Amino acid sequence: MPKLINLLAYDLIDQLSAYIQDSQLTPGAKLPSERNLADRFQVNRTTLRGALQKLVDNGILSTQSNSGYYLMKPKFSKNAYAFFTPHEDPSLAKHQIELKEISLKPATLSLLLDKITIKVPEHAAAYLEFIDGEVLSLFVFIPLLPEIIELKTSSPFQIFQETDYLRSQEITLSLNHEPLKKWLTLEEEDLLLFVQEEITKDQQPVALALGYTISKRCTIQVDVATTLQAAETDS
Amino acid sequence: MKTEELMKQLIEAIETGTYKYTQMIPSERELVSMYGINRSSVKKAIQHLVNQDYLLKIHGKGTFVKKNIHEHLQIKFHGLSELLEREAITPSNLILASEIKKAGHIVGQSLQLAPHEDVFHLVRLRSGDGVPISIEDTYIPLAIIPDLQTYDFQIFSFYSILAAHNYQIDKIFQTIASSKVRNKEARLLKTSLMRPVVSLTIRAFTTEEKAVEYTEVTVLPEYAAIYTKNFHRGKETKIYAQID
Repeated sequence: MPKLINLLAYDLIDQLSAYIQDSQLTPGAKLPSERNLADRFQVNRTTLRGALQKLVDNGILSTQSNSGYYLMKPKFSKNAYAFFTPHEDPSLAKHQIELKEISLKPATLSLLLDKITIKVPEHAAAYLEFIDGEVLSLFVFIPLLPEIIELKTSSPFQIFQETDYLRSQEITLSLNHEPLKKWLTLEEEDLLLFVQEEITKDQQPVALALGYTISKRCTIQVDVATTLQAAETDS
Repeated sequence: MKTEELMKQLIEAIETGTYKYTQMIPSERELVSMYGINRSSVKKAIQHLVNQDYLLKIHGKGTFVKKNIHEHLQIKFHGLSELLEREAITPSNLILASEIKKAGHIVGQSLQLAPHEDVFHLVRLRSGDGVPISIEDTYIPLAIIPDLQTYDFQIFSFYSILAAHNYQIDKIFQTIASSKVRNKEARLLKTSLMRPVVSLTIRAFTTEEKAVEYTEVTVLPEYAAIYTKNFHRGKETKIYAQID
């Protein structure tokens, strides 16, 4: 069988991760040199670089050209079900959370809504999410019904936690983050996780929520209990 | 013995668990000699049971038990193949690697195993209508199904095999993040080098809180929703893979 995938690379990534954890490096600390690491793990520099690169791509390490590898700060974790209501997110309970309303230019909004088949709404609201003083995400809220537009609350996402509403969510990457650079202080390499939530009540669309979060700083958690049927009897 | 009688015997063997869900039954030739009836009656009996969803016949491989007698363990969580079929997309699987190895650090932590314990490791390229969608890197504690390597993952999903062994998946934890594909991964996914991708991990636990699966998925962003689509009502969360 031709070699379709290099299994040794997996082992090296695993060893590096164990090393990083055991060495108790603090965020921002520099890793030993490539030569030192290659000696330690008995691999050649090319193999080592491949594994380090993967850890950079995954947001565990960062690198500046020719100056070595640094440990990134641990990522925040957000729960999908409370993505737009971070105050209710138990994963963020120990952090300081702030939502700040901002006004997006209609041009920016239309760039963001490029892929979505609705016309640019008049009543959209936008918020920046700060965790421990650090900008993490940008939320856009688009009401689709007059009674929702009239809801003037400081966090319009709150009400949809009630069981009358069904929220359908898809999570992927946003590949056009040009319009958000100004707000989210992004670097060229940064990727954004994109959360799109359609909110319906009795099958009628009520609102749309869009969220962009800096993926090197945050992961999204979806936890599901698969609800067993009451009918089960035997083991 | 006639076709009807053989059918009755086979159904009983399936209902009582002699022939287990996802397992292969004896070949036509073996059935001929076991029951002393002619080949055409055997063929007819099997065809009837295929029509009644007791059996599944795979050309060139054999005949497998399709009926799951543990009804309540019928899959409530669907693997990628079932999700694609639901959308009328033909799934396919290319096994890139399959091995038994030590759990190591990351996998060990995720599966509640010590680093030296054995896991079954399966790396698959998943496609829909022949177009690459994702690479799935799956680890399963060898202790839960010791003969896991003998199963054909092209025919039954891992979730079906678990159900056949009486393991009920009760909780799924997904962590969604991003990465980039380089070298081999990019070539396998037929995409450009450095292309941003969604990278997610899936951990599955049984009703006894036993970790049975740890999978790292690298999925092209345009297909990420197949894995990430989820529904919330109040505090309840469902993922697309649960919706029937």
